[in-house]
Amino acid sequence: MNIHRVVFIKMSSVAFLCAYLGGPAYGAELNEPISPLPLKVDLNLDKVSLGDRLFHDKQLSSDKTISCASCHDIKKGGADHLPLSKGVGDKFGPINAPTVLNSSFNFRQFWDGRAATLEEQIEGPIHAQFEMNSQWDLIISRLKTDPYYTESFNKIYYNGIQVVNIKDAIAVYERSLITPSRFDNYLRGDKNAINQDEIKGYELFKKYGCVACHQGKNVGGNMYQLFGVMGNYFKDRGNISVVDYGVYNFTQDERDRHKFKVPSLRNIAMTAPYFHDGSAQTLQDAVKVMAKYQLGRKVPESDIELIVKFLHSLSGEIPTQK
Amino acid sequence: MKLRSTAINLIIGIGLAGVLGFLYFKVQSINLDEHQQIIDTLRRTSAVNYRWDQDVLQTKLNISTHYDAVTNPLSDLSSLKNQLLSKTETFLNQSDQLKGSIDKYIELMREKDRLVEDFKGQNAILHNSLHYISTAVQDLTSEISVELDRLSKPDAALIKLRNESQSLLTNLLEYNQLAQQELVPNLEKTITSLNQQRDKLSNNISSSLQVVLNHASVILKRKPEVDQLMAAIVNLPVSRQIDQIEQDYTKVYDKRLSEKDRYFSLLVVYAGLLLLLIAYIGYRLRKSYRQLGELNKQLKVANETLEERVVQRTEELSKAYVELKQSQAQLVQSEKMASLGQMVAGVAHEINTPLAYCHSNVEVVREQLPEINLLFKEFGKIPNLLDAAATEQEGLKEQWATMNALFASIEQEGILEEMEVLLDGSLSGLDQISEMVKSLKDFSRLDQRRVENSNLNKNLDSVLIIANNVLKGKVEVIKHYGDIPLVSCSPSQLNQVFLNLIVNAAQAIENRGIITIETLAEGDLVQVVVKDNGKGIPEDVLPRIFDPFFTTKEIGKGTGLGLSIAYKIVEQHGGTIKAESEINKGTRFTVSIPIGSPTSSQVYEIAA
Repeated sequence: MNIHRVVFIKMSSVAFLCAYLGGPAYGAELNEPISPLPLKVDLNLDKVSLGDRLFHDKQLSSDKTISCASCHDIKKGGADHLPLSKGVGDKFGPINAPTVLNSSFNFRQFWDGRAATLEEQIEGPIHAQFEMNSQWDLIISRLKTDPYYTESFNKIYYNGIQVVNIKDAIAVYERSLITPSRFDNYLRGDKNAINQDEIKGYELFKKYGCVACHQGKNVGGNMYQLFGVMGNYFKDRGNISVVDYGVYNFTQDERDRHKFKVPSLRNIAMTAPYFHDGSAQTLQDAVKVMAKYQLGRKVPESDIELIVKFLHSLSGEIPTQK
Repeated sequence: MKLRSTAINLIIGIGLAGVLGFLYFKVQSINLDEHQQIIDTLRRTSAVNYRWDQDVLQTKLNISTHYDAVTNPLSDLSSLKNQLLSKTETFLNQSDQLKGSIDKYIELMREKDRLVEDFKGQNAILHNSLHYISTAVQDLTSEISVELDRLSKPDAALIKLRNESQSLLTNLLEYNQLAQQELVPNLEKTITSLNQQRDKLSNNISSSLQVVLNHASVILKRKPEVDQLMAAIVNLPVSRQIDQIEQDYTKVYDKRLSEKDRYFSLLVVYAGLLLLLIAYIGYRLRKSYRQLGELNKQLKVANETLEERVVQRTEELSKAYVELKQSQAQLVQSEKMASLGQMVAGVAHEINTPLAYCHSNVEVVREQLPEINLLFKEFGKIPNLLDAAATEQEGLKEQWATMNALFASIEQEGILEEMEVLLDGSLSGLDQISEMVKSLKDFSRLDQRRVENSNLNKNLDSVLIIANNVLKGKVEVIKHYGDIPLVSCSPSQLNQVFLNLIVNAAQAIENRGIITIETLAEGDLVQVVVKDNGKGIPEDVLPRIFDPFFTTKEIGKGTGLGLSIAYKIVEQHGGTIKAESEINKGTRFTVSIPIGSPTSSQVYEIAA
């Protein structure tokens, strides 16, 4: 039943696929702090399509107004373009929605990393008061009335519609949301995949030390970092709330106060506004804040523009809904 | 008895097999594959852990430029941990020591995870500052140089600042390389001193200095932290703990292994014993089999002759059955004749009475006839006389007188009226006789199996006629005939039953009494009740009255078959006969006969 098939991630150029298959093109990668996304992931396509349907199903929320996609709109770069996200009853939650795209490459989930896996993460929005404010019993009873779901679940899972299976299908779907970009092609050796400004931007990105944290294949998403290393961001911003405590909220360790999971910068050009508080409206603003509070240095406007150009090259192909 | 011994054998068999199964299970309880998997999991965990340390070190030394390698082991270690827990599940109950080591390992890994996360964050910042500090110092010194160039005379403070910031850079890099704590006070002093000079500087230089100082502070602060974290990570006794788990596991495993060996020896001994048992049973079986074979041979011979005998017996039996059937029919007929015989005197008397008065009537009529004859003879002479009337007036007159005298005598004696009465009486007597004869004929009919639809009320009447002699003068018969449907039956047989019951009833009455005969329709049945108020049947006799040859009458007076035959007849009709009796109060026989198949509406209509 669980036929595993390989999902080939769309590549604009077949040449790089050949290059990849022809032999490891890792030579270039090894020296680079950022590595390209994998070309294929091994997923059960039935689960992907079931998860897709669940991800877009508003029945998961208590009043049937919110689906996962409401805040993680694939077409909007996996987020919602809002500073803070809106849940059931048109109420705003306390935090900015991070993108769902490439989230499987994050080492942990949520801004504070309190979920170790995608499956664990799903529990959060399902129950959160200002998100779906729902219950599994309710969701299961709704899904059971839909012949598509009963048939699909029974086909894929021996025990049909179960919480663990719903989470599995959604997580498998999320693992299919991978967005290789022009920059990946560049990393794989296609020097023309990005333009000269973008290359310059990348060099500046490295030079200014952004890569100290935004590195790895997800350009971030593999460590925690204090927000405000070289200055007190929260004091300057004011109006500190609980969500600003970051990792501390779940470890209760004073050393974790104001630490956050370093977010991935993939598709960052599509997911304004920025930061957990949605305070930066543009990429330029965000880069400036980062330079000041994380790097402790001034970056000229022209360099900021180049870095922003580089960041645009990280926008990948948005997966289409099946 | 046989069932019990089978059950016992079964229980013994299951017990023996159970012990064998238990021993086999114990021997098999060691799964070498699983053992290999556990060892393998531990080795892999150890390898991943070692690799992790290497990766952490590489990021610290800036050999690796990203943290994916430091992050990836998390999921590997988590799945290895789950593998270990599931594979060792059965061992954990046996060894608290093993459970303790695994728990401690998990605790250590949690701590290591936390330390590595902390390390990643700190290390990233440290490296950023280390990476940038040279640039920052360079920016500062070039700004100072620009400022110095701008100033006409050399500014000692600025030059000092330049030198101090350059030596700060050198010392910081040295400190980073050597990690010597002795360098720290000097560095801190330099930072404080540089900080104090900021107020006197131009904005540009001051802010550049601020950047340098910020990063210098970061390095000073983070460097020891990163080193400590690194040391803490490397010093966490994780790999020793993994070894400990392996040791503890091996201990439990060895224990199981020796247990298995013990059970294996037991199994061998047990299997040997079982083999002996089986051999013995085999020997016994063989012996029994041989005996059985002989018995079988004998049986076969016996069987062959038996078949012949069975055929012979069957023939004999069927012949006997036919004979019996015939003799039963004869018996029934003879019983009928016997009861008829008992009736004969009465029947003769019954016939005799009408016969007597028929005879006497006819005699009287015969005596009276000559007189009438004479009258007719005399009357016959009249026409001749009339012919000769003219000639012989006197003769006519005389003849007329004679006739008148005769006529007057006949009229006076009322002979003709008397004859009419006598002949009527005779006719009715003859009717009685013919009815009697008909009843007898009906009763004694040999074609007993003829089935017809008959009205039991009429049958009872005809039986009462035959039994009249027994009843007469002694018994008053009260008839409560119901409106009953026709019954499909053999009337002569049922008549025999009724006669038997009525005669018995009459005999039960010693002086004078009443016999009540009642008929009624009861669903699909017609019931005939014959009740007397005679002496009744004693309780001990009552259950036996339908037995053949049972009689209370004197020898020679009854066959003892009457009621048994009655019972048989009613049974053949698919009916029942039932007797209730009370001493000195009377007996009540109830015969229930099913209406039977030909009870079509047509038959009912005819009956109506």
